[in-house]
Amino acid sequence: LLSPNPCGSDHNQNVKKNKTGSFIQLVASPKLTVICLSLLVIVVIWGTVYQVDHGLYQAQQKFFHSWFVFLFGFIPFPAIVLLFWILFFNVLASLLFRIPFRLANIGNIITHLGILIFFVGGFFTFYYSQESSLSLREGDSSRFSISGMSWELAVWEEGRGNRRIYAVDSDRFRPGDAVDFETLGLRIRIESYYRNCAAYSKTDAGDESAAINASGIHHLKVEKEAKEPSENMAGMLFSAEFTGGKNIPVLLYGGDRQETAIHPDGKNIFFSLRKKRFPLPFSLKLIDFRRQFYPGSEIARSYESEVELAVGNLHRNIIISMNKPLRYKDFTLYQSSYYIAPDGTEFTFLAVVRNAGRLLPYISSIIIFLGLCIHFLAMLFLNRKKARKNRPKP
Amino acid sequence: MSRKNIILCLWLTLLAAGSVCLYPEPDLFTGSALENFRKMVILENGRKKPLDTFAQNMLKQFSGKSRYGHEPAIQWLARVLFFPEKASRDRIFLIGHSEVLNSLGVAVTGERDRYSFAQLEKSLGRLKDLAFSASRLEGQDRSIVENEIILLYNKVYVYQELRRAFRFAVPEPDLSISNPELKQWLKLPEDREIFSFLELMKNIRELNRAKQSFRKNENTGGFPPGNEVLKILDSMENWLRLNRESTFTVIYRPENGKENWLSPWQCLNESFQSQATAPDEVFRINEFVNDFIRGRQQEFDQSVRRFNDGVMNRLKGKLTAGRVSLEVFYNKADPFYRAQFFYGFSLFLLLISFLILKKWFYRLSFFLLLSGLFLHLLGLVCRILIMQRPPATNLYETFIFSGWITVVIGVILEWFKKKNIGILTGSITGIVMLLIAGKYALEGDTMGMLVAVLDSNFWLSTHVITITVGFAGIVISGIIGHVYVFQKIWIRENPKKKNILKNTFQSVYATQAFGLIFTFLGTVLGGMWADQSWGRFWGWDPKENGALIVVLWSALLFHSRLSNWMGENGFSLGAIVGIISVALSWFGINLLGVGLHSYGFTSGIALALSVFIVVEFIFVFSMAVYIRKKGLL
Repeated sequence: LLSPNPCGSDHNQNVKKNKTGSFIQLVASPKLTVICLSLLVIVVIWGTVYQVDHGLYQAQQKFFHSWFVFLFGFIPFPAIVLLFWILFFNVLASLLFRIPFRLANIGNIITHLGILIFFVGGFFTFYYSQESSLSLREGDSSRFSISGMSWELAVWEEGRGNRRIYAVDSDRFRPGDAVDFETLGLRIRIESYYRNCAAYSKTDAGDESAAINASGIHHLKVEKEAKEPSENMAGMLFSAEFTGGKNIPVLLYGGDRQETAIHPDGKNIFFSLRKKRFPLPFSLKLIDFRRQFYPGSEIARSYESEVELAVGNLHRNIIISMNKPLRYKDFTLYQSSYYIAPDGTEFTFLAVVRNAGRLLPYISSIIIFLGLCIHFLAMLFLNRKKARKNRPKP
Repeated sequence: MSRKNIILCLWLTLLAAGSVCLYPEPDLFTGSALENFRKMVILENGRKKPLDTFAQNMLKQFSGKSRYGHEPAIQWLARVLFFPEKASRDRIFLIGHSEVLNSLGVAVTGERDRYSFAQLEKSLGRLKDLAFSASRLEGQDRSIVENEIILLYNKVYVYQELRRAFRFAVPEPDLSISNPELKQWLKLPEDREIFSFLELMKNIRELNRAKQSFRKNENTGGFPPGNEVLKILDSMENWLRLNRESTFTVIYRPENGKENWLSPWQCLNESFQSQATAPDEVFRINEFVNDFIRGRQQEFDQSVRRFNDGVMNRLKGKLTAGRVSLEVFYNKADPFYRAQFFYGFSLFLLLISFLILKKWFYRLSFFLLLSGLFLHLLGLVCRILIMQRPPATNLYETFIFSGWITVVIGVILEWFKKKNIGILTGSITGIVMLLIAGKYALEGDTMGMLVAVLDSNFWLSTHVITITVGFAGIVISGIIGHVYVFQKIWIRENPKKKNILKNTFQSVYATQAFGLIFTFLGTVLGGMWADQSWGRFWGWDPKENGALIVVLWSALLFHSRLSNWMGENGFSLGAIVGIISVALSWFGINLLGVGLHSYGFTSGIALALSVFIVVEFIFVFSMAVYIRKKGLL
């Protein structure tokens, strides 16, 4: 049916050696594709099996969102990001220098063009998309969503008109780092930062710390990161240095019951270590949460949240349900979970994704599929024609 | 193939398929006495289904088979419901470990055997104790035997519930009244002492009134005899306590526009509590139970029909009688089971055709393949009509559907090439896929309701169908890859060999390309669905990775061929490895037990899968070495 003869061998010869250097030849080579695809197969299998013991998130970080994965802790093995970049240049170079622009090849060209767009979409999502969640109680509204895994240090001063909150991403804090809050006349110097830790009061730990904490925590103990990143509880110890020369040690814990306040020179400065917040260009209010079961069973038939979306003075009611998300500009909100308290109060959990390149995978997939189909049919047609030609005449 | 031959083939196909489907089955009552009983609607796991399907599901759960010997499941269920004593001798409880029986003190008849309720009855107390202690252990701390004990206890519990489902219609020794005046007062027949629960329920108000007056004037004697009334009411309460949770929900009583299904015992419990008359449906059931017990076939059939009509009228289009009848027809026809035989015979005749009467056996073999395909399609169409959704919602269905696609690809290959490969691969994959599906069918109802995230006909019909078609292509390619390797090694060198091999390789290549296109499309459609429901196109979830591995492997094969790193031999051997990637993606990923796609979790299949993978790898490796050594490149 199809021509199984490797047309690539002609293509290789067609590469114009005098114009392109051996480097381009290497980058455009299908051999490089084979090597990358083989490595991809290995990494994907490895990363999948790794999930059994370490969970999806850690596997993502180690294999799928990184450049290298380290064998025995020190031998580097190419991971997904590196392989995808190599494949991207491989496909690009193949299109530019290897695959001949002929009518018979049109399907092949379209397919590889689609793959390029696919990579662009992937990179876009990988580098720029933002995932967070929004939990609402029936009747409550919110203007921001909260990250599931990233933390931030929020600082503000009370008692000077409108409250202005300054927030700094804290995930990459290292001991010795300093952050300036000029309007508050404050510099923060990090002493220690833990991505996951346990908190102890004076009586638990025994050793006493001079650091201030409003929830009565005196000691933090670093812990192994949880399988599910949302279960991590960050903690930090820093000294707040004021322009007057006053240094105050502060301890913050992700699970603090209340914000910690210090009062240098009669000011009221508040600190909070909290899950990172993302402002939304609208406010969302939960009107009603509904769930349905199949009669006489515990099998969920549907869940949906009726919400009120408010942008300025414009208010409209929308229903978000499984497979029917709410889209607003480059934000998409999905029904992800719910909770019904013992007193009957209903909560809904919405996943909030911000991705400007959301449509790229759709577009590229359609292009690749069309390209593959055209190539398949063209090969079928050409091969039948060839077979007819070669058939001995009576 | 000439037009005449095509018409002849189609005609024979229809004839054979029709005759197989409509072949009548023996019934408990002669004729079609159970026909309407099969169509009685019951709610089980959220789905309204005919009792025929329910009976099969129950029997599958208990014994791992959908028939009891030669009897259809409905006949067995009728015995359990109407003659529980007789049914208790049916050996239906499949017990896989003799240790379970040892711990119950039951005589072991075989390592893996079926036992009757009567055999287990004496050890029920012990079984309950063991099951309760085992269930207190954490899942991972339980041994296989402990799991089996819990399973057996659950089975026996459900079975006992079934035995009692219609007992309210039958006189019971603990519901006896000896005082003639009391019988007269309660308008009960004077010639009997034992009554049914329902007979007493007719007079529930009188009984309660008597109880109250007795309590007020205790020890005064007189009429009605208080002690006897109290004894009767106590017994009735015992019966209700035992049965009020009964899940034999065949009575439809909508409540505030919502669907509401009750078992007869639940209705009786409500009536008992409110001292109201039991609903009509309970009396109708009483009617047909007594007709059955007394052997009045015609009356039984009519009573059941009246009961069914009542339910259907109330359902008002939520379920049509046509769909119920279709499901009963589907159960009886068992098209997939029969299709397997057609594929098997087709393969057998093809092999015969290599030895004698080549032309005739070849034609017959192709015709049998087409017959199997027709039956297979019939089954798929039935499922679509019954469930009103595409036939790819669980692992069972994906195997059924992809099995059909593999046979279609086989038929197309055969139609165009006429080199036996289409019949050979089509019949083999057809049988294998249906056999695997058959294993999944034993897990219970194959038409379960869909959880919220899967309940989308659009995505089911696009993503699941395309990926299944893609997997079918890759599998067929791998099977033809086997054929190529065998031909390479076993066909003696002759001028024709080159042509034969070229032909086979073209098939490997074309089906691999077909598989790649659809697997790719299915995978990205899956991404789109995930984007619609979970908010991300790709999350490196095991199931997604499984499909990705299939795509990557297939793309790798084509690029290896392109770069001259693989010849025809390498490509064919690689196509065989493609089957492994599909197998891993299909059910291997579910065995990991992680990720969002937990709807297809399978158990006990790990060993079979591992054996398959090891055997295939050994085959590929040894063939590669052999071909290289013998210089067959």
